[in-house]
Amino acid sequence: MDDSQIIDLFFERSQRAIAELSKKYGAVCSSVSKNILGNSLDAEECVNDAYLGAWNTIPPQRPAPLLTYVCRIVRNLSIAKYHANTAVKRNSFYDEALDELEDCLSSADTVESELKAEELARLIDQFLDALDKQNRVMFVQRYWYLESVAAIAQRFGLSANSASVRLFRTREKLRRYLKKEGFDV
Amino acid sequence: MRREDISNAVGNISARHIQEAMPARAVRKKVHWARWGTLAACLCIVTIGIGALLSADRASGLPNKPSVAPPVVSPTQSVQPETGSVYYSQLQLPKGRADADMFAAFSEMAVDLVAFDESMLSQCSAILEGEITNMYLKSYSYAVADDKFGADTPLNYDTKTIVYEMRIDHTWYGDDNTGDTILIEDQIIFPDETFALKVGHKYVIPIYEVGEAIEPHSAQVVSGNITRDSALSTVYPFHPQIEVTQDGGYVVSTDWATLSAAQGREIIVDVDMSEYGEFYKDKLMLLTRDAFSAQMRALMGELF
Repeated sequence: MDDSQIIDLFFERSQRAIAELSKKYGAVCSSVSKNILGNSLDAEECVNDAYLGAWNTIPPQRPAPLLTYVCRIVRNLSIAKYHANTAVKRNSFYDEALDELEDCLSSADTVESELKAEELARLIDQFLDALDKQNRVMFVQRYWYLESVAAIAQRFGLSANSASVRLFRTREKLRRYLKKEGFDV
Repeated sequence: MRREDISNAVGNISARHIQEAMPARAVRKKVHWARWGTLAACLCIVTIGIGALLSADRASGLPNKPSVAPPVVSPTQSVQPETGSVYYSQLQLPKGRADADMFAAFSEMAVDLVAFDESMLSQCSAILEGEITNMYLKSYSYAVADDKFGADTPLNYDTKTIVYEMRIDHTWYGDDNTGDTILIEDQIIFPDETFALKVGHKYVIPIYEVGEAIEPHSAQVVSGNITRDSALSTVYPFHPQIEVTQDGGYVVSTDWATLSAAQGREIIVDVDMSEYGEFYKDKLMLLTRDAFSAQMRALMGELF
């Protein structure tokens, strides 16, 4: 079933909308949430909350693409839960990914006040546009979907080490790009 | 700046990048209920069967090879277009199907897929054409240091690979080792008996050097042997490899964008396939040797 048909079901207030949404995007939503939270129970709760969020906002919204809309909700809910849940060990893919990304940015507090997330997102978008497709997809799978390096390596037929090296080089490029754009790295 | 800030920024990147990078849904090979019902009873039989298979293969030597002349790669200024379709069952392919035991060994495997793209070939060390003369399973059991369940409690792993012996008839890219027999060791078998690599069949396979050891994780291996039989692996084992017919044609999937740009014949797949094979049933074409050669040379010129 394509996205527009699923959204039509939401507009009709049909409960099949949730079932079809889950059938089409449930796996990737669960994967994102599990990568952040590190446990299936919390992830399932976040995914269900995201479905509820979609139910409450569609209509009036008619998001396109639907995947991104739902996944963003899942990601945000999962990160919020991660921070709220002090029992979570600091060993999820989320932490690993954060550790890697941290090197791309300055530690200077002055930058923080000047920086808006939207502006940084725009710069990262521009940076991603300049990458070749494979490196771009690897970067987004690692730092948006929080996929493990091993899983990414498997998909691209790379060794884990080779995938790590590619991601490292991309982060270095990002670091240089952000510096060029005015960040004091 | 807090590190969460950049995470938030990455979280707000454009939908087009998120959509593009969406990992394909996990897919799992269907296992018949009957297999579950008899799984326990069959476990030892399968184990014995694989052992017997390996013994038999090694004892009998290499199987007879079909009389297929190696291709002559000659420059062509123009490619004669071919029209019309051909049924898969009419292709001049050697008889024989994939070994059921091989599939049983990998039946629990789940993978996420990213579609093949010719740019993936930039990492390959060679593109070889040749005949699969033998294949066997290899098992690895090893343990890695891990403190997940407390100190001194290593995590144990069991995994399998499939090793192909390939006699090289032609080298499309890389050092020319025509006439040699090499080993290619993969951690996945394409889960469709029509398109999986088979002994006695000829293929064109891009390979790369994956290293001397199975890479479990970055953790330290504390027991077991993780040395591979071959440091070479198939670049993209998740789609049908290019198969060479006995009359010199090339069966190419259309995700080879450059190769499939040639005028070829559509292949109508009229044989039973798994759900994985079904994906490619309308994505195969038959190229003549000249057309394949011209397109492959163009692709090599573009990539290397």
